[in-house]
Amino acid sequence: MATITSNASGSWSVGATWVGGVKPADNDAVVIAAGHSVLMDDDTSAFTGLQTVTIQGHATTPAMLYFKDGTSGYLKIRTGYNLIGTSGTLPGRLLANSDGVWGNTGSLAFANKAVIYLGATSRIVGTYLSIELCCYQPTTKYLRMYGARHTVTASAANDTLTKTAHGLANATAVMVMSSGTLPAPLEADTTYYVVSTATDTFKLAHYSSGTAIDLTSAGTGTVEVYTGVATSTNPVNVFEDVTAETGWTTTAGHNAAATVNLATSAYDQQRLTLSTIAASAITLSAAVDSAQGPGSRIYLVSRNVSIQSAAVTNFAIVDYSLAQTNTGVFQCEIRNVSGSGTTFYAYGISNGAGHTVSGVLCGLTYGLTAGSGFAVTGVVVACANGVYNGDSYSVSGEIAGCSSGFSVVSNGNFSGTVLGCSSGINVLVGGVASGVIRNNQYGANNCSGTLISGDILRSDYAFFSGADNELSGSVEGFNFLYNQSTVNLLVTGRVGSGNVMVLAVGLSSGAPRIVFRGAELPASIGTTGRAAANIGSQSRQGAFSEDHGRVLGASYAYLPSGDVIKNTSTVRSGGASSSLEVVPLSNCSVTAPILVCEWTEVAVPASSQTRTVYVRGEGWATWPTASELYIEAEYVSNATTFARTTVASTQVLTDNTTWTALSVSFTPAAAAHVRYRVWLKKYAAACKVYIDNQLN
Amino acid sequence: MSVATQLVWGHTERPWGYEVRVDYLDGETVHNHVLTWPAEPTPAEIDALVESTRMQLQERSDAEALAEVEAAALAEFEQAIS
Repeated sequence: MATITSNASGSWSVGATWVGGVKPADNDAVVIAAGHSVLMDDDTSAFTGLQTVTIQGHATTPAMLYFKDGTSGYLKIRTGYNLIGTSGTLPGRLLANSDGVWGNTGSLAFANKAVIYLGATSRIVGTYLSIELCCYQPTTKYLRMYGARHTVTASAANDTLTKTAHGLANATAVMVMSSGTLPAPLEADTTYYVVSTATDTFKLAHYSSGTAIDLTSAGTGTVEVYTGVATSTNPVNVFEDVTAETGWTTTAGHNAAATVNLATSAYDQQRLTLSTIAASAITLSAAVDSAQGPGSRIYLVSRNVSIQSAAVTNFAIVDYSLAQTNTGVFQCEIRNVSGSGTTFYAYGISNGAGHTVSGVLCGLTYGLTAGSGFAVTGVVVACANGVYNGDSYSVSGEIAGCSSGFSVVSNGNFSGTVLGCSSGINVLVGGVASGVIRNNQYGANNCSGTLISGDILRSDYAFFSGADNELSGSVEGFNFLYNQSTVNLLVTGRVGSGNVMVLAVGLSSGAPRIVFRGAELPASIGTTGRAAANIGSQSRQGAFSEDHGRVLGASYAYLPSGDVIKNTSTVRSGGASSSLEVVPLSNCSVTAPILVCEWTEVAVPASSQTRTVYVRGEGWATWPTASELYIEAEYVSNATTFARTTVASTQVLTDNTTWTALSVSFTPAAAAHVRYRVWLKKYAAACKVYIDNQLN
Repeated sequence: MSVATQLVWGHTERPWGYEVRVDYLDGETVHNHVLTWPAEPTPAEIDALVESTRMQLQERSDAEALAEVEAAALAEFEQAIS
């Protein structure tokens, strides 16, 4: 082992570039001295690896290690050693570009390759390094896979697609395409599900077993429906022809790819290589190991500037942890080459601020992490966590095939696309998501204070857990709109077709509180998880639709043990202009009551008081008792201790036509707030109660 | 488990459309649906939507039951080979 120091600027492979006149050998350490620029034109891939490679900083003339057009280079660093800089006003420089001139972001021509291979514990320490790695970007970043293609004829009259003996079973996931226009309202690159299948016809729905989509036109041109790829398939059919496209190559070391399954389920990816590339088919290094949803993707991972890490533990590959303000340009590939399946290692870029990331990150535990203000326009694919932990990231690129896509980020701005992930947006706090979130198991998982103005499409759960979020975009094709732990979700956008819109479950599992404010809702609304024993609106959970059906002033509350609807037809003469129509579900009882309404009256005098509401039944044969339908008043009964007492009405209904007064009398100990509540705690089939919507 | 239409009721004209309530029974689980049309539907239209909704629930119930069976079989298999 020796330490080889540069003697002058020049090419790595030329002896005269180095003190002693001999280029670095395997296991040597390398120092590029300040004032020298060394072109990496050597191939050290056969080495076990170099020891530490140091690029010296300087007040005015820092050293530079660079790659440029006309030559390829392969820098291999052995495990236990790093690529580093040294201190100076200007840090050492690591550059790949077209001409070797610092500051020029012209790409290294694809014909030339720049590889930095890092051993199992090796890293690039960004503390005293300026990094600009500029490379060729393929025009086609991914290919779309398909299984079978069916040319169909659409009927707007029948909402059907026709093909003789199509063989498509119900619940088959498909996508549609056309050489002209698609039958409206179908859209390309969107997953649909076959329903109402017959020998020669079928319909499409937004979700499995969903309502058939109302086709409003037959479309033009050749309309095709295509399915996904069956498991164990190789080669796979693809739509895009990249046989003549630069960047897509089967050359070993430069043919890394990743498949991303767009089935709406947990993330499913494979890291493979391209074996053959044909016009309509790709042979991968291994068959796909699961059924792939239609339109599932093969991402090109290789770039001609590449940082490849053999890490088998988790640490930062490009590490700015001691240089939080350093900024780098990464158009390159950063990839872990040791993991496979669902085993990922290392962090692509960690810490720092304002990095520009327009290349590819793949196979990493965290693609990007622990920094701030990263601008991500590239692709993060097949990582455990795509963009993880940091603040003020701006992601306009694509995150695909990750367990968590855009995850644990504060005040992030997501305007890109996240797809094929278990959680598309995960634990985003106070951020804005204006991009597209689609084909993920969970669209937005456990976010808080986030404004989602983009679309959440094709999710098992559009929202999972989370609190205080707002959706002003569109959500469609969900199996569940939200789960039991989703709290304070405000929906002002469009809720399209989905399986179960309202999932309300019990106290023990959470307390979803959802407000639809002027939202566009589907015509037919299914609920599940309601009508469970001992779960009522004492938990304050439910879905509350304001300006329901986009009718100003209309309201509809879906509560765990019943619905409360504003009714302007059944009203009391002399009473309010509307009533509260209460429809109990089968669980409605003393232990699962409906809190119909609640008023607070301020500064009620400390004197005898009586308050009344009027109620009317419908359909009852056995009337609710005074303990099953009543108004209660909660007032201050001790002016010193502020103790409060609750009293309830005692009147009962005696028919289904009379507006009956329910009155409560009390005397506050001091002028103070009084809270009134109306409760229903009884169910009978096809029975309702109306509450005059005013306190008298 | 067979999904049955338990009760069709609550035919109501609303400002946002015409509403019919349907309760489906899937084992011990009640699915409460509110079906809505832009205007009052014919009895045949109601019957058709009530039944198609029931069929959707049946398909989903069957799929969930199958998934449970497959998961149990997989767990049993994994235990057997471990």
